[in-house]
Amino acid sequence: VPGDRDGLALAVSGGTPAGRSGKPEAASAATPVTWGRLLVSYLRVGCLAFGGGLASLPVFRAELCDRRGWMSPDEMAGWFGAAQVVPGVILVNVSATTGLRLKGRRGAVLAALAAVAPAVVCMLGVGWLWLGYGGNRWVAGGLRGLRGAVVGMLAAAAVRLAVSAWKNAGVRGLAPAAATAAWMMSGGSPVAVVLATVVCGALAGWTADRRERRRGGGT
Amino acid sequence: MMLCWTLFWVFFRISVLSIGGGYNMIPLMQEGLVEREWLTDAQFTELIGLSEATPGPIAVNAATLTGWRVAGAGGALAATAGVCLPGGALVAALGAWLVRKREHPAVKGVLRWMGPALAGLLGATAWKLGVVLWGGAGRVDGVAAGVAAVSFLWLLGWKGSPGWVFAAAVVAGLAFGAGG
Repeated sequence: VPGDRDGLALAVSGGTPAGRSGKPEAASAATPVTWGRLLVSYLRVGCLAFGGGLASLPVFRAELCDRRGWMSPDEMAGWFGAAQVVPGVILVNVSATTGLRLKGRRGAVLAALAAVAPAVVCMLGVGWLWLGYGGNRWVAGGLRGLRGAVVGMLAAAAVRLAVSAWKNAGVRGLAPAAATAAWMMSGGSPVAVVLATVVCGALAGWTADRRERRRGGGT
Repeated sequence: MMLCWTLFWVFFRISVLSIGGGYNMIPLMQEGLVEREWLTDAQFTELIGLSEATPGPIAVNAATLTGWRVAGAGGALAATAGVCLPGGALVAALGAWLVRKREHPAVKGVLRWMGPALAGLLGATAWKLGVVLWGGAGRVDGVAAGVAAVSFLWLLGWKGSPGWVFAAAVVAGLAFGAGG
């Protein structure tokens, strides 16, 4: 019966039978989530998320919200916030949570694998060039340029982070940066820096919040 | 096989400690990979350059490339799995709870403190790798040093996108540095 099949399709897509109430765009907004579409969507995100990290938010939004209509931009922003709080690679984290939300556990695994696959394939090609032709004078020349750019990029990132720490918290922001640099220069491990930052940051945030609450409760 | 497991665990550990994504992993990787003598400082600098200049997240690219270099295709897969697993599994397991808790004061405190710490970590790493660039091979690499200075000013002053900076750096290297 055709009418039944219509109803089923709408139920699967999670849409409302808006076509009958005169709002066709609401029904056509969300495409049904199939394994094939999930794979294609996350492969595409993996190809387009060039720099990774926060830069991939617009890519995710364009694909999952605008193109597929699988979730609202607000929901996507929420998953992004969660993915940032957790350690690891943001692209993988966002893919895993949204994949889970769309198609369960296997969806999470498929989404994460598909999002990473383009990068891995690309790097196997780069690795082949790097390992096999590192002695070639043209490859070696390009690598010399790259080495310089890496040092420049890291230094620029450090300066920019230090400037924003200074703007946000003055000397109290710059002191941890200087202490970290001194620790690293004297042969200290970055692992200790990360652990100390997590402990200090959590304590500082928690106590500041409590102090504020007590003051708020007093007045 | 043993080497693949080691690769997996090394990258798993790096991934667990990297909060805030991306650049956070660079100092951790520098320590983990160079100390194990899997890469020299100069090779590590190349690794980061290649990872940044190609599509995909730096961490995934660097893991795949290191694994490939150290132990072939199996190593590439092991290292990539190690770098992806902690965050992906954690975020999938905690899901909606994390979305609610991301505004928790302790969480915000950690992220706020991570910025200054990262400034120090990256500054020190830039210095270490820069020293290798300048005098590591017994002589100054003028081409790489020049590119470093230009890209530093470019990224800081014009807010250029890293993609263009890296493309220009490769072109400069080919033009001035291919002669040996």
